[in-house]
Amino acid sequence: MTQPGPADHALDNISWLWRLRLPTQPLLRHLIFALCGVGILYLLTSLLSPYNDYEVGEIALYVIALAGLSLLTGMNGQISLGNGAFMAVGAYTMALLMTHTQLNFIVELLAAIGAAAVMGLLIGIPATRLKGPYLAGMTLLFALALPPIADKWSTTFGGDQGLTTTVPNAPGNINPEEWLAWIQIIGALITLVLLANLIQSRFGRSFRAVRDDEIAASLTGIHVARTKVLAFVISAGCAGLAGGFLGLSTGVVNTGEFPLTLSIQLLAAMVLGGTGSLMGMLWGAVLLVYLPQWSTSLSGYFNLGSGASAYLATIIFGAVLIVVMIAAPTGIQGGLRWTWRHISGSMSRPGAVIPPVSELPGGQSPHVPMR
Amino acid sequence: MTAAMIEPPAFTKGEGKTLLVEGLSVGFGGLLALDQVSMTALQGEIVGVIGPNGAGKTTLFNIICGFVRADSGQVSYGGSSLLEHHHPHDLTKLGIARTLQGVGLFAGLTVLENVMSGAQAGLRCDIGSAFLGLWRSSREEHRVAMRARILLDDFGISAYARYLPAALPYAIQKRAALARALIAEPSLLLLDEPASGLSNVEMDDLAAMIRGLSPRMGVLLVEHHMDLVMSVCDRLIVLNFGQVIADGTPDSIRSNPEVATAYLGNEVHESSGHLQGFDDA
Repeated sequence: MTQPGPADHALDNISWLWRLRLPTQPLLRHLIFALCGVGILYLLTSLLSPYNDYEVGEIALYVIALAGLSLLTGMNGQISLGNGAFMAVGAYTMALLMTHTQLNFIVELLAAIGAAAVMGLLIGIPATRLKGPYLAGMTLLFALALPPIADKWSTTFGGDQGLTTTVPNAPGNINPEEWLAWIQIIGALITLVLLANLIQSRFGRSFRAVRDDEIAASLTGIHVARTKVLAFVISAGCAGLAGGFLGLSTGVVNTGEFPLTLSIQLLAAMVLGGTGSLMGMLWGAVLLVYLPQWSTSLSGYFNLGSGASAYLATIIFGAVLIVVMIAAPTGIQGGLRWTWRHISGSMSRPGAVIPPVSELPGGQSPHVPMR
Repeated sequence: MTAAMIEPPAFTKGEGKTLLVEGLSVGFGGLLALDQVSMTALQGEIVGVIGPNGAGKTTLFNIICGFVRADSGQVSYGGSSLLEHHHPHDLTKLGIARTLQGVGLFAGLTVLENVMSGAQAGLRCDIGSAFLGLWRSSREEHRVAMRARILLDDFGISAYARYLPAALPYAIQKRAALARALIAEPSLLLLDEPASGLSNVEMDDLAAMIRGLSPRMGVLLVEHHMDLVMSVCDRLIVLNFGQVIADGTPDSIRSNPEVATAYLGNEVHESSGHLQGFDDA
């Protein structure tokens, strides 16, 4: 056979790229990515206007929420329509601590993550018994049930007014928007590094194994229920941090910030970005932040009334979702990967080619595994 | 492993792990799937469980694995009961691995990752190290990947390590599924119809492979292909309507009239399909 096997093929075609090997140690590799991100974003935020800095920060916080959702849905196969509510839990926890205590800002954020994670545990345990639409329904109920609680105890949770949040003072003469953006960017990068590490560990493999086949997963020794709850807790923790950051961005935490549509938009943005990918969540977050703005300017351009413009964002979001699902079912990130594969001619990606049957080594000598 | 080769098989010294099934009964509704089934599988022994469709073979496997609860009876392996507080995920801890009917590979994991996942129960890395990507996590991953690659080499499928299973021919998938079970280094391997969908040549490979396992681990084999079962097994257990109707060497089973009747009903002399093995005898 003159045709090289898949592995050789990959090395032949993009060997120049392959030689630029990143360290195989996950932490080192992901830290290199994160440091590149810090560099790019530092340039970006220093060039941009304060308002754009604010948007960059918003993108960063949605990346956190979407990354958690991507882990839960893409990696572990559990659908959640309640991650907007987990964001609310995180935001209220942080705001309550800010109102009533003088704790360190970092501690308040960690508490936001912790409270949302505990809520994730409470929702995740019954969730292990539910699948697909039933799970979506249960998490939807959670998202519906949470805001009335804040309304009921309005003295504690501030009612419609909500609770105010304060961003810690910026060091030196950095403008506050840039400072807040940097807090959120650092939070997002840390989250991404941690999740990327986790995905490449035995836990990441367990998540995906459970998603693909629960029976086979249990036979390999994976505790299926525990794995699913863990995914829920991590996802909720991410949402909690994102919620805290959203509270910082808006300066106030009230129920209006966490409507049911937030959860649905998160799910749609995750699908758009590329379910199961972390990098793709960046594209999802960009769409979440900019699509409403684009649609507002679009409706202004066409002189649509305020009523129509309110719906235009949702319509565009839905239309983009349909187009992406037809053109690239694996989301924007999947589409980019596909494009890159065809440009580079690499066949090394799993499942990229079906090897010719004639090259199979099978059917010759018996291969007895002996070590 | 080397110790097992030098010394006589462990079970002769009474140290070996034995699978003991005693008076096992389970019913689904009014139907008795297993009726007072008793059997043993000694360490290093290759035991075939055969019987017509619906005889209870897979139910027996499912009880051993903890997917189905027995109504009465006892199942134990190496002295620990497989009935009380027994869950599928505990199985590998006891040294039992199982392959599933068909293939049962994880569709979203590459062949290498599939095989690595078989070693999941032996991994000890804590979640903190995994989050932080510490050496403790990555070193363990690296070791598992190496073990999986060696196993893929042994099975002659290392060229497919990076492919998703669905893209590969059935026989390759079957080998990967076997590799996934073997990476856990079980002392008892449960094979559920390993030969289904394989060609004759591939089946010969499989037979040689199973025989090669026998000094190190016991094998419990549910299979329809009589040729394979007869040539590979040390002992056969024949189930029919949930009852053990015969238990003995392949030769004794071949000449057992009750077994022939169970399989062929009244048409004892009309052979067909995969029952050819009976007539070749």
